Amino acid sequence: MRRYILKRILALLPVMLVVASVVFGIQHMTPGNPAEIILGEEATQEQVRALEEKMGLDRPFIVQLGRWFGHLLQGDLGESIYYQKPVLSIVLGHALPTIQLTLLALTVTIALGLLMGVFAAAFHNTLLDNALMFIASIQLSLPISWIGLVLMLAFSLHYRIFPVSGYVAFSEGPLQSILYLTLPALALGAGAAARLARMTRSSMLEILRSDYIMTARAKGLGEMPVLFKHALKNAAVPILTVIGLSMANMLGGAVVSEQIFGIPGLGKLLIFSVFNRDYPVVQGVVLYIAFIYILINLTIDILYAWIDSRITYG
Amino acid sequence: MKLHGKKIGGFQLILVAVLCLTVLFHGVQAHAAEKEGKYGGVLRIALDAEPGGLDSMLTTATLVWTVSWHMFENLFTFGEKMDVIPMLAEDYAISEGGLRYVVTLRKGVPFHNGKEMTSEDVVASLRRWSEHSSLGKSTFANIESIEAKGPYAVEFLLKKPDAVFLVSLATPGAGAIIVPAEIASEAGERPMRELVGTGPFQFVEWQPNRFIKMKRFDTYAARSEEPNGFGGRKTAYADEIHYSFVPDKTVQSVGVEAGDFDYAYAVDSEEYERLKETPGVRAVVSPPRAWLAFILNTREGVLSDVRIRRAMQAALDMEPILLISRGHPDVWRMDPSLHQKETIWWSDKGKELYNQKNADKAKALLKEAGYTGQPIRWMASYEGYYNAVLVAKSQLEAAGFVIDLNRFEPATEASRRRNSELWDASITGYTMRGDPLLNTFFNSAVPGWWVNEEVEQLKRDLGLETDFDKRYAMVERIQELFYEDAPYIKIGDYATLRLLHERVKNFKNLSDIFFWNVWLEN
Repeated sequence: MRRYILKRILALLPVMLVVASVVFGIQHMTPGNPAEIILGEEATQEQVRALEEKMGLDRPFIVQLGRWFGHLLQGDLGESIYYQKPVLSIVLGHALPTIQLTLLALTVTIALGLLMGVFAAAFHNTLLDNALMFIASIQLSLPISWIGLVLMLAFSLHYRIFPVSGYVAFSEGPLQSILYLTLPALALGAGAAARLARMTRSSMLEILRSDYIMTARAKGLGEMPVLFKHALKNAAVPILTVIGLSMANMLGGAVVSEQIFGIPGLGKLLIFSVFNRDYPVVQGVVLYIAFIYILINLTIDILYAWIDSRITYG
Repeated sequence: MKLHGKKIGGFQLILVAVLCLTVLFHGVQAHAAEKEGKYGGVLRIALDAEPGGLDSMLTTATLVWTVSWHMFENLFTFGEKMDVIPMLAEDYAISEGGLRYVVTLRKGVPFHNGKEMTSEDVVASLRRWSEHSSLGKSTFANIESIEAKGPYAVEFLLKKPDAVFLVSLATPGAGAIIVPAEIASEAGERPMRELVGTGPFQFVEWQPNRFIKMKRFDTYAARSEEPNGFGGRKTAYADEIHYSFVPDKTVQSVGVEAGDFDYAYAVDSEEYERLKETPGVRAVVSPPRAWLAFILNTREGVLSDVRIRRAMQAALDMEPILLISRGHPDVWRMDPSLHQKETIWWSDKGKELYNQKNADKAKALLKEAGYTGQPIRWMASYEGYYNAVLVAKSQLEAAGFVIDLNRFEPATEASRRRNSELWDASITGYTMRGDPLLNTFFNSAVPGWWVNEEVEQLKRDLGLETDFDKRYAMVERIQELFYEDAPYIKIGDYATLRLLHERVKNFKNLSDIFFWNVWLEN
């Protein structure tokens, strides 16, 4: 097992290297560069050229890439063109709100998704089952931005329970922090919860038909322990896969949610940096997201083995 | 005494008199409070995007200077009628036939770091401006020398008279902001690391993607004159200003309605009718700030032929374009002038070539030019721009044009626009500058590349001439040539819809926004 984990961690490096090179390439192929944006519409070609030269943007692509990798090897992700601060500190500064948002959204996903899925399966082919799956389909079909705005109109403007937009760090005020993040987490978690509900329902249905469930019921166990203790645990592997995927997907969804609700997370940082061609920051954020993505996958793989002892890694 | 046929008694008369006096007294009190304002509170502002920096010397971006001008000031600024008035300058004298300017500085003006502003700081700041600001570079091309004359005076020697010299010094975008000498020289072409100015608010913190925070500068040296436009006496009533970055227009208006924000920069104009009826908020239409224009590539490609450009000009119907792209009719208007009606430069020269809606004329012009359906490559970025071109496209296609419309992300579009091989038409908004000579669209070096010998000569003359009537005649002639050559097609003027919470008082609805002299009512 340890060897397996080590192997997977080592495999991280080439993946990150490829991600970094591809992102670097795409960025440099995209028209527009920081010099043009800094100087604005009215700058002449000569002024742009001069600034490009100063910023090293006139060098060949390979030279720029090589220089960037050189710095990376020394643990230096470079300096942001706009914020004039080290990229690492900017990325880490923006990671916390995204992590908080993702965790809260994941809580919504798991609580809502599991409950909907388990009850839909338990009341298979009844009105409840149909109603729950209908709701799930709607949740899946609606874009995050729309759900976000509707939640905002209802709970921020009409009922005034949650603030409209913004962010308070958990350390600055735990309650405030949760208040600010609730609506974005609901918007972000709704789709994932629906996916999870459908997956939970189908794997539960399979398990509920097994012999040992019949045995459990036959020996007089109540329906709740049967559902949550015996059935759900055995249906966990596919459910875990969906949770893992959802968590990774949420990093993408967070871009939209953060933009609408004004959360200073990685998503908002990424959009700002792309529009302003802040190359070093875009690189830093993408590398960080790739790293987290791989880490989540690894954790899920390890959890499989922990949940299901039949799964082993050589 | 009888009122509406009813007899009123002495007691009632006294009651009415007391009531009148009370109302009058309250009125006077309210007026006094209006004059004095209330200190305290945090002004929370929703900006539609995050500025690319706060060093407004380096960029013309409006978003940057409308935030940073609470911290930085120029030697001059603009009054309500866009006239140049002194800000950090006390006075100035012009001599030697307009070749020598001596600007005296106000004494006892502290920077946010406590140091007093002197001529040394002004010279260092203007040197940086001359080297690294697009406006500074063009202004200093005509400056022979700049020299401190004692601690409170600066002398400029010009190569030839410059009618817009003071206007340039007063302009906020890519502006000549005055900062401490050591900060100016350390920064060079890079944005300043320390944001130290002389303004009524001082920089506190910028948390990327979250907020920009400023606080009142307690020892701010205010001018003694009444507030006038962007100058005069400035008072920081609010303890702090917090700018949040809220790109979504719906979120901006919901935020003000829910009381989370005090002010939203630009809400959706389609919401105007609803917001007018919403209690607790005040929706105001800004003065027209800019005009919408199609930029045509006069340098190469299909549209380098003036007849095809004129055909385009002939075919367009501006009303639907403005309605679709700008929304509510109160936030835009049709007008041929290159300078807004509110300015002294307004003129209707060339109006017969504006908003012609004449497809037949267009067809005839296209035929004369031998146009055989070569596609016109049109670029657009923002949604409003794109929608405007979509409407224009259908009008032009009805007149025989073939339009190849592509939407690009803003930075990509701006970058492509620099390369004349890649496009034929584009779209943008032009804001009014302090003087016609500073207009972007008069500059033959910017994309569009409109070169007309007569215009170039008129521009040179405009720079030397100081008599208003003569200058006005020149500007009118340029406008005439603008319509004849059709290097750009003006669509119409537009404003923005601003939204304030009712607790915001003394807000001045001018073309650009500031929060000095503004206070919060509980």
